[in-house]
Amino acid sequence: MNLKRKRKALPYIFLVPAIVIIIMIFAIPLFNLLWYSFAKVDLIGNFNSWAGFNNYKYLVTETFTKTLGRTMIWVVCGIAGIFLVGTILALALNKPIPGRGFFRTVVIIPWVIPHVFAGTMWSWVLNSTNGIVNTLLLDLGLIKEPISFLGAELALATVIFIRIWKGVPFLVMSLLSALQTIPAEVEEAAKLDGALGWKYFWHITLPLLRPVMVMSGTILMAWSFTIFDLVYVITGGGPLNATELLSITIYKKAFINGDMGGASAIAIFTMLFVSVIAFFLMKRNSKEAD
Amino acid sequence: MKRKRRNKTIRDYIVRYLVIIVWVVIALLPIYTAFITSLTPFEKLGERMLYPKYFAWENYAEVVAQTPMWEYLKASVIYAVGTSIFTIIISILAAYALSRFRFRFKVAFMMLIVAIQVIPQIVIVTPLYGLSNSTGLYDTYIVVVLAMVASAIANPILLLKGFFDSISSTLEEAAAVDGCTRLGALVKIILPISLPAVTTAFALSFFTGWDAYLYPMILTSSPGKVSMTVGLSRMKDIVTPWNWIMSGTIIAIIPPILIYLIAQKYLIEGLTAGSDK
Repeated sequence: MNLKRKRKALPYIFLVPAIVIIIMIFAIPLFNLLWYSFAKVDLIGNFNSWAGFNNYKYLVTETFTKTLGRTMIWVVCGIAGIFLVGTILALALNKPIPGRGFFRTVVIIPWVIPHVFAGTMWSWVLNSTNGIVNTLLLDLGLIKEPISFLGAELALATVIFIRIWKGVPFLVMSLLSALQTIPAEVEEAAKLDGALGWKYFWHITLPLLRPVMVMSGTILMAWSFTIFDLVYVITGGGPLNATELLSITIYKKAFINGDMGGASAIAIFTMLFVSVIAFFLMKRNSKEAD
Repeated sequence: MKRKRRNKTIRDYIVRYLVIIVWVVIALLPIYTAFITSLTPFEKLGERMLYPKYFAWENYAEVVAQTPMWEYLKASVIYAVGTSIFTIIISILAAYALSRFRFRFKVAFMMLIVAIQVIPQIVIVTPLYGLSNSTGLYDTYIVVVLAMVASAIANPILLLKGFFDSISSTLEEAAAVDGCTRLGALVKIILPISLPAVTTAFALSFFTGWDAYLYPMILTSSPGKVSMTVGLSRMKDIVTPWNWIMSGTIIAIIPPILIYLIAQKYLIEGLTAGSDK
């Protein structure tokens, strides 16, 4: 009897470390975040007084709606770019081609470069005085004046481009492994029916890739919404707030203005926003899979 | 007819190579540029260069001598290796439970694991800062490592569970007859077969630990706990010469690239293990 009870407890014992980590790093902080957002707290989280919905007032200001809009542009353009480039690349790499192993290795490299170093390297590559891209474009006679990639006008587009650079390999890996699971007979049959090229891709490959695309897209969406280090290292949110995303607003509110309550309100909003989108994406996907 | 088909294959190859090569150039451009710059003497930095003209390897010696590069590296290694070790132990245990046992809350736990992937660090860091202060864990290695483990843990659990599922349980049953405990069976029988999956889990969590920026920046303050990421971004902010910054960056990206090259055989399967379920 004792032995049986012990065996029943075994899986829970194996799960204890994982659960402890999740409680310590996610559950308790999220709970604190929630009450911080309705309170006045000092920098290290000591309670001063309740604040009702005062901390949430910032969410209806114009500055914030602008930041939200900017973040949406960042997420949507970034993901669209990642999907466009990633899908084309995955298709190019899918079937045997001389050197495929080597190219597959190299194509993935941006994924293993930490965000901060990617940011530092790209800032140097794109700088307007003697960055290699401007040098190249000037030498080729394509431009007369160096382009200010990190100036107020182009900064957002530039960081989106770097986001795409960093995000493409993840999608390529997901799609490549999904493409491997498409049976050879499917292609044979399609060939016999004369469905080739674009038609084949649209009617056969794409529907088969959809579940993986939705799953990877959801994860990429959640990550994009809250990427901090990449943009912060390159622009710090500037120039003139041109690249101030939600994550940078949270950081600045909390650790530069010392407004923990305000930062928590934005964080709670972000968390809910991302969860709702993720939930609907996944739900639609699992419905269609049935 | 035959010739037409051959032409088509060749055209197909050209288009595919074009796509691949354009991407490879873009993918490697920043690394290539960083490398050239890391070898350029300071007074030549303004020069236009598309290929390396100078080989000032002393930049590397200088950046190590003039900046706390060793300290940064040491902290980064502690964060990355610490994250990997904790993540691997925790996820092996959890994945084994999920794969071999039937118990209440199993589905709920799986859903929880999938869900924590989308909890962002920037959301957690504010309350974690308060929490680490009130528990006395502020400015310790362990608080950063534990926080990174939480960010790293989901994928390895899903990946290892998938791998364990594919291993037949007859071996363990035989071991159980010989009086081996479940933990013993896991360590002696399952783990040796699971080396590919464990390698992947190690690589993935190492990348996460090496990438750590926000947590070491906010949750620590003493100089010895500054990671490469935080150290280099500060160097950039205080206008350190770019050739030094690039030497530092090259040093900083070598470990993840090396680990990737060693583990890459398993990585592609590994990373996507969770996403097709």
